[in-house]
Amino acid sequence: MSVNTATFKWPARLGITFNSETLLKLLFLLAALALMLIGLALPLYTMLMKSLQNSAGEFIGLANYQYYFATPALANSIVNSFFIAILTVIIVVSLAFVCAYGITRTCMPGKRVFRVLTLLPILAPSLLPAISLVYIFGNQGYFKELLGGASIYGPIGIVIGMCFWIFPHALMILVTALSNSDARLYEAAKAMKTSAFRTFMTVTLPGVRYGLMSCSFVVFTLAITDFGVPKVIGGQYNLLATDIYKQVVGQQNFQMGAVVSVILLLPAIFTFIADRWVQRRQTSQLSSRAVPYQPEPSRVRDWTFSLICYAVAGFILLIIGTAVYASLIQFWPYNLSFTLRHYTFDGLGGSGWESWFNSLKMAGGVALIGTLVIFTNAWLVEKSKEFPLLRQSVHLFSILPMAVPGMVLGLAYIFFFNHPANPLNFLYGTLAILILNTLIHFYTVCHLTSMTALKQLDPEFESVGASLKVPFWRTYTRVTLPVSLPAVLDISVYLFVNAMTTVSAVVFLYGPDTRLASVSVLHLDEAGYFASAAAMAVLILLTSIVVKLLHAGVTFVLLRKAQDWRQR
Amino acid sequence: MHSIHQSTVTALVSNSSLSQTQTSEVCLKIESLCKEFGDFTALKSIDLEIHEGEFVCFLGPSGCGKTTLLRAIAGLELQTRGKVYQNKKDISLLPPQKRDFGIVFQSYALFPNLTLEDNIAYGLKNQGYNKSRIQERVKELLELIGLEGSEKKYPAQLSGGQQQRVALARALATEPGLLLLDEPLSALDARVRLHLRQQIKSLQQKLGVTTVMVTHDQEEALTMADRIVVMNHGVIEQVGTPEEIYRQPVNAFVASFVGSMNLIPIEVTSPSSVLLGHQSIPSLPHELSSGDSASLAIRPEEIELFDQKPDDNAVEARVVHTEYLGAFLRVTCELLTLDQEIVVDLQHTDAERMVVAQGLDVFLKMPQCYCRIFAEQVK
Repeated sequence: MSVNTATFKWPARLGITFNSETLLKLLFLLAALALMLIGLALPLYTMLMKSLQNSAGEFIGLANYQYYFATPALANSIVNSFFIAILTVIIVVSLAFVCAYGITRTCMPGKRVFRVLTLLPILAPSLLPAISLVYIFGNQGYFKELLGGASIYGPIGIVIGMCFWIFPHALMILVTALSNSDARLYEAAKAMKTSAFRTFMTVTLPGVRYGLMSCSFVVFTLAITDFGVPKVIGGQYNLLATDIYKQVVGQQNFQMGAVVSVILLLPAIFTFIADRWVQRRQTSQLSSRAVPYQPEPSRVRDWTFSLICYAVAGFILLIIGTAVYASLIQFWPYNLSFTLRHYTFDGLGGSGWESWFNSLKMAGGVALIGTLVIFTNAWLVEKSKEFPLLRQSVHLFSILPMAVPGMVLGLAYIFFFNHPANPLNFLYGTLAILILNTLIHFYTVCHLTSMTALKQLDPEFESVGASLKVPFWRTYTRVTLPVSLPAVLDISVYLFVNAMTTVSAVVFLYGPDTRLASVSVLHLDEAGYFASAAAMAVLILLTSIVVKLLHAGVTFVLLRKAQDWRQR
Repeated sequence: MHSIHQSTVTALVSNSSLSQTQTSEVCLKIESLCKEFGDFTALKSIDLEIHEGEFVCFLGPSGCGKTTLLRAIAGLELQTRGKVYQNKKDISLLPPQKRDFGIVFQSYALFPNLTLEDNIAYGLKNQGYNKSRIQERVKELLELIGLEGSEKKYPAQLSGGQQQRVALARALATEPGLLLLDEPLSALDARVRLHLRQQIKSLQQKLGVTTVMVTHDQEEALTMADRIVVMNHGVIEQVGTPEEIYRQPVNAFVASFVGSMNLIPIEVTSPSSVLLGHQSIPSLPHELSSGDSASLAIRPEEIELFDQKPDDNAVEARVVHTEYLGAFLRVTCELLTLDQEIVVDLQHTDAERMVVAQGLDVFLKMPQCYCRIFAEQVK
C-alpha cells in the first residue's frame, strides 16, 4: 500500500526497501568493487598462478620456487634486500627523529624553510638522487675521495639514495607523532623534579612509540620495494625489485619474474599487517583536553638541532643542485660551460618532450579521475548505511594496494591485461592502463585521507538531508564535497606528484606512444645520456614544484573565501 | 482506542490529563518493535501510540534505547522486527526520504558552508517551491525563531542556542507532520537550555506539530512533555503525563529515576498496611500478599518531620546529616528500628520552626496516600 511505482519491495526479511537512491548506491559500490577486482585482485591472482607454471603455461607446483632458492645468484637478493632495507630504516628513522624533534620540541630558527626544503625529495623521481650520487661520488665524481676507494655503485650508493628520497616520508610521520604531545605531562614531570633525560625516556618516547614503529614500517616497505635508486646506482648488487626487472625485461623469463614478485610481496604484506596492527593500538592516546607542548628557548639545544637540520637540508640541496648543475653543463667533467642543450632531448625520440607531455596527461588524468573515484568511494564506505558487507569489502580492498610493491603490480598487470583471452586486452599499452595502474598503486593513502576528512564531518548530515527529502547526491555535492575541499585538493596533488615521479609500476606498462618522463629518465641513463637523464629528472621535479605551488595557491584562495564559515 | 499505560499502572490514575489524548487522532503507532545489534538487544518489543499534536518525551538513562527508538521512527535505523504506522500508513520499511518528519540532532548538524537562508531552504528547493516563496518562508521561519535579518550569516557565526534554533527552523521548514528532537538541548549550557526549553515548547504549541523528544534530563521531560515515555534496558517502563510519572510511578525504577525517592524495604502485612521494622504503618492499597518482602516508596518532600511524637503511626528516627539547599533543608535520618537511611525535605518555613541538628531524635510521619508499595526490594 505504501509502495509507489518508483519503489519495489525487497522481501521484508532482508529489511531493505529498494528505491532509486539505494539502487544508485548499490551500483556505485559494485562499480568500486569491480574496479578493485580488475585493478588489483585479478592481476595479483594471475601473477600468483603464473609463478606456479612453466614457460609453456603448464602447472608445475612449486618447482619455480625450488629453482629460485637453489640458485644462489637469485636467492642472495633476499638477503641483500633485507640488508639494504634494515640499514635504511636505522639511518632514516634516527635522522628523521632528530629533525622532527628539532621542529616540534625546540625553538630552532628557520623551521619553515627547513620543512619546505625537506619536501623537495618527494617531488623528484627516486632516480634523481641516484643520478646525482653518480656525479658526486662516481668514477669522475667531485667528492669521490670521501669514499676512500669504495665504490658508490652498490650498497653504499643505494642506501644513500634511498635515505634521500625516503627521508621526507619518515619526517612527516614523526613530526605528526611528536606534535601530539600533552604539555601537562611535562609540567607534571617538572613539578616532580624529573631530570630531562628521564622525562625524555618516560614521557616523550612512550608518546611517540607507535609513531616510531609505524614510521619504521613505512621506511622498510619503501626501501625494500624501491626500484629507481638501485636500478641506476646498484651496479652488480642484486635486489628483489631490480631482479624482477632483469628477469622480465632482460631475460624475458616471466615465470621467474612472478616468483620474485611473490617473494617481494611477502615482506611488504607482513609489514603492512604489522602497521595496521600498530595503528589500531594508536587510537585515542591523547585526550581532547590535552594542551599542546610549547618549547622554551634554550641556546645550546636550539643551535645543536639547527646545525643537524641544516646539515640535512644542505645535503638535500647538494643532491638536487648537482642534478640541476649536471643538466646545465656541456659535458662533465671536461667541459663545464653552460648549455640548455640537454633540455632539447635532440634525437632521443620518444624519450624527449613527448614523454613529458605523456606524463602530464597521465598525472592529470590520475589526479582528476582518481580524486573523484577515491573520495566518492570513501564517502560510500563511510557515510552510507546500506549494504554493510559490500562496503566493508570495498574498504578492505582500498587499504590493500599499500601492501603491493609497484614492480609487482606492474608485472601483474602484464600477466592479466596482456593475456589474449582477456576482453580488456585492448587497454594494454594505452594511457588508460597507466592511469588505472597508478590510481590503484597510490589508492590507499588517498582513501585513508578521505576517510579521515569524512569522519570529521557531522555524522548526521546525511540523515538531515534524507529527512528533508533531498537526494543523497545533492547533499554530497552541496555540503560534503565543499566542506572537504582541502582534503580533496590534497588528494589530487598527492596523486599528481606521485603519478609524475613513479617509475616502478609503469616501467612494464608503457607503449610506444605512451612512454612517460620517469621511464625516459631510466632509459636515458641506461643509454649513457646522463646529462639528459638529469635534465628530465629536473624537469619532473620542476613540474611537481609548480603543481605543488599552484595547489598551495588554490588552497589559500579557497580557504580565504571559505573563511566566513570555517571560522569559529 | 486504548492507551497502553492504563494496563501497566497499578496505582491510582488521575483521569484529568487523559481526556485530550484520548479524543485526538493517532499520529504514530508502534507495534512490537524490536531492534538488535548483533547479540545486543536495544529494543525489546516496544508498543506505543502517539496522538496528533502531542508533545511526547522519551526519557531514560543512556543506553536505554530511547535514541534507537527515535531513529527507528525516522527510518535512520531499521528495526529487526515490528511495525511503525504513521497516520495509519505502514512506514516500517520506508527509507527516511519517503517518511514525513523533520529532525533536530544534538549536534545541530547545520551545514557549515551554507548560509542560514540556504540551510533553512535546503529541503524547500526540492519540493518545487519557487524562489520568492522560499524567501518568504525562510523569512517567516527566521522570525519565528527570533533571528530575523540573519539570512546571510553562517552557522559558525551564531551561538550554540541560536544554531539549535536554526536547526529547528530547518526541520520545520517543510511543514512535516512529525517533529523529532534527539537530545536537542544537551549540548547547551544550563541557562540557554532553560530558555530554549520554553521556546521550543511554546513553538510546538503554536504550530501544533506532533513532537517526539529524546532526553535523559528528567526536568526537561517534566516541564516540556504532554506525556512521558520512561524507558530502561530497551523496554518501556511507564507512559503517562508528567504528573502521573512523578506522583504515581509504577515501579521502583521509574520512582527513583524521576525525582528523588526513598525506597525502604518492608514486609507486607495486609492489602493496605506494611511492616516497617516492628511497626505497622498504613499504605496505599496493593495486590501483594502478606508476608511478601517489598519496598515502600515515598518522596522526601512527602514525609512530615516532628520533634515530638504526633501519633502512633509516626516512625522514630535520628538526624545524621543536614544539607542546606536554599528553598528547603534536606535532612538525612536513620530509622531507629531499622538500619536504613531516609531523606526528608523540610520546607524553609518548617525548618525555621524547629532546630534540626545532627543527633536530634525526630518522628517521621508518612501519610498513607504517599506510601506506594513496589514488589521489588531495592537495596
